[in-house]
Amino acid sequence: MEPDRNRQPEMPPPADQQQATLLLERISAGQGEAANELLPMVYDQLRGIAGSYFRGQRPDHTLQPTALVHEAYMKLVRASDTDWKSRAHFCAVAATAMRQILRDHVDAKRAVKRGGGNAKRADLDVDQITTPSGKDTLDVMALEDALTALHQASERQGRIVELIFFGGLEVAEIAEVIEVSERTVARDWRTARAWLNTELSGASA
Amino acid sequence: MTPEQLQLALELFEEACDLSPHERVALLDSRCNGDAAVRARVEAMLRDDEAPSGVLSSDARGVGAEFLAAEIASEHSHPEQIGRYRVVREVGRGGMGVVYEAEQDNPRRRVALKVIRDGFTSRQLVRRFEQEAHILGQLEHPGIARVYDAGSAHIGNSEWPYYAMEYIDGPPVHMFVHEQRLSTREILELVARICDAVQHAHQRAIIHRDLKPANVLVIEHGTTVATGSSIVSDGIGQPKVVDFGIARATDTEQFESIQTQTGRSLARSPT
Repeated sequence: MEPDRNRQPEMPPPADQQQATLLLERISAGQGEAANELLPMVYDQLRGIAGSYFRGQRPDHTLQPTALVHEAYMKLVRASDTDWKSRAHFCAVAATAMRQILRDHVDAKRAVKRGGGNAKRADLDVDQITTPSGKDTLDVMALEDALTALHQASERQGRIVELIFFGGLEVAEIAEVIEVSERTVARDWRTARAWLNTELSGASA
Repeated sequence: MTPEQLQLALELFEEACDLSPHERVALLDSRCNGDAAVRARVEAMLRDDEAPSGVLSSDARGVGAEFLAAEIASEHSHPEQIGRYRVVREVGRGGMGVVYEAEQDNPRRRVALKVIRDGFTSRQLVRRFEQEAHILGQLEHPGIARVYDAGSAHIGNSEWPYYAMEYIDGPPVHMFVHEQRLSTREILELVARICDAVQHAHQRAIIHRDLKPANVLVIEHGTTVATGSSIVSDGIGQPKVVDFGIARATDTEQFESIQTQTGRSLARSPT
């Protein structure tokens, strides 16, 4: 738990912006591997933005759906770049980053629990949290496990859930990003949603 | 559910979607291979499909982002004030607790606040922390991060013990060595400085108990520190051992016996 040095990703220097924009252009042009380079930049940005919401740097402490991704986009990519396709590709990278954040988060939580031994842990990290819009509560670990299982059974369905759930993408945008028909996306989503709902509700374990 | 079962359930659901209720039964009869779990799951999925009831019931777009943001944000939340310290930001987090950068008004200085969020919130623990801080506060060496104070903070409904330590703005020693590309000779000199610091504590019968690179931070060449005790003029850097004795202070099982020993040895004047 050493104090790390101040590496807040709040305002990326213009060089980062240029690089991010270039990478995005490459992804849009079909060079999917550029996403690997863009991913860490987006990851840092998302964590930084999310963190700032609670450090009292925002007048209101609520997050609208997809506002997070939108803000990361505005900060990382040149504002003039408004092509919907590249925006979709950006959201897809952001979805991967968020999935990674979720995974890291759950790993850290499990490590804390394992390290417990006979120590009684305080109920500090609430596993059950309510989304800001108050829709439902989700169990972080159950969600992570369900997404992993789905990914193993059907990679495409797992990816589609990520894109909708984390990236906030529409069916047409997903079709563009993963290069399948909109019909396939809709069908996969229908199946994945039914499975996740039953899995996360625990109704038919 | 095994991956194979899940795969089958997904497949059957997709096929069943386009079928009439009658045909669905026939499909499940013929294709479930007597696997009741798969069948029950597909049936539950079909029910959910007709009237979505779970977390993804309405528009699921971005729900994950929203949810994750709230989760991350709650991680970053920190009290504005802990004891007499104004919390600036969180700088580290581990299984045992959280480290904040904080400011004190009088004397005016920057501190690292280590808050132990570990579940032991008894009066006894808080008292032990205060005793430990008192002992550790006697360690005065340029190579050891000073412990200023200990106390307990009210966070939420609980009382969490904390230490206030000298704030060290520098990387852990292994990163420092790498970043600065130190020569073997310089690395040895750095290690010798760490040894001096540890020796200082050992002479006062205080052992670190968790000495590792992450617990040795290095202030780079020319950096002044709050205590003003050290300005190092060579390029090797001033190591600062942090978290001295804290491993023991939080170790409940071993604490009682060791505490009496340490207390006794410290009653003597330092050699």
